[in-house]
Amino acid sequence: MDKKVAVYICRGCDIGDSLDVDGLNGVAKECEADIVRDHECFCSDAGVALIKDDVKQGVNALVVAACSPRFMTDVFTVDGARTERVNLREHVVWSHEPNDEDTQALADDYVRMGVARAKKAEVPESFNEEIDRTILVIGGGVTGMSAALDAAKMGHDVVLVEKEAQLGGWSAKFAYRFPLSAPYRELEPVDMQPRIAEVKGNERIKVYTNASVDKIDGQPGQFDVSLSANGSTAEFRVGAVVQATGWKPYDATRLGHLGYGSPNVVTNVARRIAFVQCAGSRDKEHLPYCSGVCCRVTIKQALVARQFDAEAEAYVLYKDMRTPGQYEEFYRRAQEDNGIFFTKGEVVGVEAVAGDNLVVTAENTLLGDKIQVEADLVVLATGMVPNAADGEAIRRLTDAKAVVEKGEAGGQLEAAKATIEELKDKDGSAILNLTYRQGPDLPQFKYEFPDSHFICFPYESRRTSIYPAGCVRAPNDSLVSLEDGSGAALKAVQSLTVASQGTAVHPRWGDMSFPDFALQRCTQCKRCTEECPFGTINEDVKGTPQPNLTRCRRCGICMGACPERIISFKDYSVDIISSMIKAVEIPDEFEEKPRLLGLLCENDAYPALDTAGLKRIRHSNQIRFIPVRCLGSINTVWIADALSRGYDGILLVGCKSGDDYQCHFIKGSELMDKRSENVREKLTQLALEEERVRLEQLPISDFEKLPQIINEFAEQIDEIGMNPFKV
Amino acid sequence: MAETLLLRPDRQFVEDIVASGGGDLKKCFQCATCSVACELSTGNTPFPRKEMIWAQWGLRDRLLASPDVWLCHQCNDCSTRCPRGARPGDVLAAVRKQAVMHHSAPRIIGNWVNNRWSRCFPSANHMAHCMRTSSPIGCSLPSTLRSRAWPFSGAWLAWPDSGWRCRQLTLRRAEGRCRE
Repeated sequence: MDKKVAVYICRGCDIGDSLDVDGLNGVAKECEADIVRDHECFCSDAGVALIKDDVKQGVNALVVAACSPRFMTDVFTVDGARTERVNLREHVVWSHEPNDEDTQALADDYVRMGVARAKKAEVPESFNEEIDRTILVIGGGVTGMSAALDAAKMGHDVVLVEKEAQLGGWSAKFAYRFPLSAPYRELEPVDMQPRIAEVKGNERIKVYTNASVDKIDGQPGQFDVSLSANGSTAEFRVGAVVQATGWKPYDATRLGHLGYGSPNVVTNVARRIAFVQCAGSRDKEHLPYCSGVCCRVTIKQALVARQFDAEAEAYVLYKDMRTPGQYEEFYRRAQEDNGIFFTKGEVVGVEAVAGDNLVVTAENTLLGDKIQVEADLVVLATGMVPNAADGEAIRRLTDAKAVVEKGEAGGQLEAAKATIEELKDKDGSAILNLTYRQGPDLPQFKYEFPDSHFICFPYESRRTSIYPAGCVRAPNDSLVSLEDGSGAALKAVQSLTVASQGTAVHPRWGDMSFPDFALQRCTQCKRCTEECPFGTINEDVKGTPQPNLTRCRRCGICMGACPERIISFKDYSVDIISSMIKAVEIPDEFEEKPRLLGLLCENDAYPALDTAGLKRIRHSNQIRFIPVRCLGSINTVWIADALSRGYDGILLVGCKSGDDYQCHFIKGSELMDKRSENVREKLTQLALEEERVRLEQLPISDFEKLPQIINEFAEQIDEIGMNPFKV
Repeated sequence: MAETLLLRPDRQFVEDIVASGGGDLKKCFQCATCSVACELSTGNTPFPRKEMIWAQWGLRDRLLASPDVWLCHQCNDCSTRCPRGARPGDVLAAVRKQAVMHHSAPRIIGNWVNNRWSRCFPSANHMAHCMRTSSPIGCSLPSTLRSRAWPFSGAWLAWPDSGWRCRQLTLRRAEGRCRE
């Protein structure tokens, strides 16, 4: 379809007072826009009516030069046309000197870039895939049953898979649990039977016990599952997966120093029980984290022991008693019992001494002394370890094994052997058995939990439509697990709904574009299949990528990775951004006005600059910003283009990487960090200063720092001097 | 690291303290607010938290041999500030009561002092108060009772006892610190 471009320049919100709008009109006409209009306020009814009239007349590419795209999004969205927003308000008039020559040049450039993009970008059309709405829940404990019941209540068919013979998980094995409701003081007996009966009686839920998943093939909405249960196999199709595989206790055989392995029970009737808290938890050598439930479990067990035997005594040696929320009351209840004794101290040893005694020694006590307690029985309160497998590690292991089998020579063989040695304990640990190029399970994050950044992205995992919940996501008590199951079920239902609409899941809700691979030019370098954080792309034997669109989150990291530049979206491609970069008018070297390019991640950095604009914080007028979907989507060819075009410096701003990453696509800023090493090498080869390209990571809350970063960068480039490649 | 302390809890002793006025003892969760509030506590003697831990575990011998419990002059700053309502001041009073019973000779007098009849007579704490403020013993009683009550105070009978001497000593130390 032919492009008919219309440019709308708003005079509202200080724009008309601070810029020469007639000049901007002229610029738009120079760029060969078909229609150019200005108005006092385009977001008013009259303004919107103007735009809609033009669309009726056949205009299909709108360039609205007004406020940030983050405002008035719905107002400027018109059916039948694609809207490109030019941010004159936050990024120009609210953050620069009004009625200034350089501010005007900045606005001119933004209009040029907007028109350049509008000319090339197309309206995305969604794909149409058949979506199965069944939800597979793996794990039949508290979390899994909660997820299954909630998904069934929402009208979805559910398949519940449990590896043991009975549903109920750990909870079904407990006689008592700590209280789940007010006043949080007394032990509660556990009875899972009504819940299990509810699950079994629900006609939407099909339960497999003694079962394990052999294979999950396909993509969200179209997962083909094979499982074996009770010696037979079953195959069926599901849409989404909730992984509620729970936890196992920390391996106490590693706690030799706490006496594990010596007979713990030394008398038939244990009258004196010592509880060692944080046994192998909050300890760099073992589990570095707190499982959050062991303190309450110890209180529970101490109370149970006291309930059965009035003569029994329980000694609790803790690093800190952690009884979150209302469970302070439960702690109080235990303290009131005159047979339960608490004190702080780090237990350093448990020894058997003469007779039937065990002696527990603790240091760092509040008394300053080393203390010892004699006991008949010592209970190590160990933490929770997730029942998860690291898909990426398993994949590395299989790759290494393939190298050894093939009989490759030299360094590769050595490296492969080292990998096999390092990862041998991952062998056979797969749970989900996904047929993904990047491994059979969810990748693990901090402390081997497959959770993602829970504050920013609750329940997300790095595999679309597969959501971990309960103790496999984080150590939880049963009440939290119950809610977690519901949360994951809701996420699964959401993901199926957006998949059936052909749009993306979090964080690009509603995005209909998807990556298009021009495979005839593919060189099978495998970079896209390796770098996609979501395992979207499989590959065939030769290494040709095979995208699975419903797995995709539309971050564009594959597009940034591709050296052949064959991956593009309808409204976001290497070519589109390149033409925006080239649309900027670069002053020649005699004018002494440097030009800088800023590529801003549109998740955090771009809104941060908007906020700085709202606060009227000024930044250098030499820089031109282009929003990118993720730093990882930056193709290094843009940097080369910009430098050869005569830009003097390039600033890349994205989200934080590392263990406490905030990157919305998990690995984006990390990948850009790696790629920028190559960029720096290239710069050196070209005899350009390394400092001309700078990568910054910025949390959205640090918006005040962004103008500072920009200004410092501009000053630095001023000092370095002009780019010698200026035309 | 100082000596190793073997904790052998004496539940009977804990119950005695609870029964004799330290009823909130078990509520303590060892946060040390009391030590921060107490004017007599120094950096290296976490008083009265240390006593609270001993009392919770029923370390009878330690408490009865400790001169520090006599340091307290029952200002109750710790009790009012305790976030858990464990009332350390009251616990120390109860410990002192146990100490009086333990150390007085003959024992029967100590027991008599602390039984319910002794409520007619000024308590050890009241005696401490009177000494500190140089007011007559029985000053808190209604004036009609005052003159008749004090000569019969059971506490007089416990005077020649070592516990009393400890108290004299620690009171003097305490006063010195207060003046600082």
